[in-house]
Amino acid sequence: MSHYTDNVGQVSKWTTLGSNTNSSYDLDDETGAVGNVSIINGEGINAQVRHECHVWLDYTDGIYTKHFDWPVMGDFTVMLNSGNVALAADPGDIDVDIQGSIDGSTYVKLADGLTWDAGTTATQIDSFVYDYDASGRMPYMRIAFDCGSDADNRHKPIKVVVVPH
Amino acid sequence: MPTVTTGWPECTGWKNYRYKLTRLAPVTDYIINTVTGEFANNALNIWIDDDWFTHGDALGQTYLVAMKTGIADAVRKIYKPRVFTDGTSGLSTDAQSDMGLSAKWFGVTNADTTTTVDVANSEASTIGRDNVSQSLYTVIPGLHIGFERTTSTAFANGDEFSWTMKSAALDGVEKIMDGSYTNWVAFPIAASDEVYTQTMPTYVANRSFNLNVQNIGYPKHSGSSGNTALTIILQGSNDNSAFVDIMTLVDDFDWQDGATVGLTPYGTPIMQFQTHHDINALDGENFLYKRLKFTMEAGTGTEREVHPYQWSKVTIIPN
Repeated sequence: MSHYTDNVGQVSKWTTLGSNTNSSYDLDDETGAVGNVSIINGEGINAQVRHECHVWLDYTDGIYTKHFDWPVMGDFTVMLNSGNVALAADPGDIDVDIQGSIDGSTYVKLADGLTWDAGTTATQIDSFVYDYDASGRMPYMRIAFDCGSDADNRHKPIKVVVVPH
Repeated sequence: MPTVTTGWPECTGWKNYRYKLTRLAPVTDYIINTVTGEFANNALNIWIDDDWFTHGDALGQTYLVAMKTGIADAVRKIYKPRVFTDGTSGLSTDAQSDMGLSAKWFGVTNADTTTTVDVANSEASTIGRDNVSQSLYTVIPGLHIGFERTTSTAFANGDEFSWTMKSAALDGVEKIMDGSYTNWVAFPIAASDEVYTQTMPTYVANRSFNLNVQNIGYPKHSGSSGNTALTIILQGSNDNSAFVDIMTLVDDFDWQDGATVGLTPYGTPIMQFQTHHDINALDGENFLYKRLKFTMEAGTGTEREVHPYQWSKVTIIPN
């Protein structure tokens, strides 16, 4: 059991309209963390309906996505770095968990996700499945990242995609 | 002889709604009756996240908190509606409210522990009317008090703050119905004591669920040494009379283990723990009636007694 404080500023909002292209928003641009998808005329087919957000892996005190803004009613798959970006610096082994909260303020760990070696190559994509029957649900749920090293990835967000089963 | 209690007032009923933790406004939501001493500079703040204060035997009663001075000041008296102490009408008795000269409900210091509330440098997420963090203490199910920022030696003997709740205090407070069920439980006090909830709602009783227990501070102890061994057991019955133990959900949990190491790993001065109960088709755990049993295990070593009349929020979130 563990508790985390919410840490804003390191993640974008969730969107239901993702894309298969990488984003290049960096934290020096404050508007970058808000926007998630750039829809350009003529590229409509690149947009897909799913739950997606961006995460900047540049912190060691815990990085937390915003709470899921959709109801969790079953298993789901979490894909890390679905845009296949090569990080600027290696954040070490990242402990990825699913957390839950009654009030949206104090969170507890519901389930272990995986230990992800993000590295700095462009092939570090990984995924895990959240077992709903084994771990249940809570009114607020989010994904927690605990990086092993403090690396500067302010210009290299990764995409996190959640696919409900 | 261990104390065994079932239902009210140690346990409220299960409800499928609750309210967002909200700080109330004086005059609008409650009437301040007396303010003396340091409370005139830093009034108590009143917070709610449930509607049990509207109980027919609670509305109209005057809540009162009185202090005593010391090396670190402490809360000596807490008067509350008696329906929450022994189930009868009126105000709690002196014996139920006044700790006297030697004991205390809790001290007011610079740390949140199992015997104190932080009034000097709280890091709670709840922000008081003075615009700084304040740690809370639960007076009755769903009603909490917070001290505005002050020092641990600011109070004098008899400094007093009393108030009366208004039924309209919930007007405009966000109501939450998210599929969870909430029950407030006052933990067993001494080793081997047992507290039983009312039976769980039929809709959730035979489903897998997450059990979440949250106290908006740390449940306070008397004494200074020993451990607390809270165990929560799921029980079942087919006649709502004879219950059997199904399985242990929480085994020998001592919340002071978190308190003594400071704010980590808790992060904020709130006790919260969670466990998941997974039902499958082959486990034979379906019963017509289910309830939770809270007990303090009696093992080797010294058990610390928990103060009476302090409730934790117990929430079930069915799969």
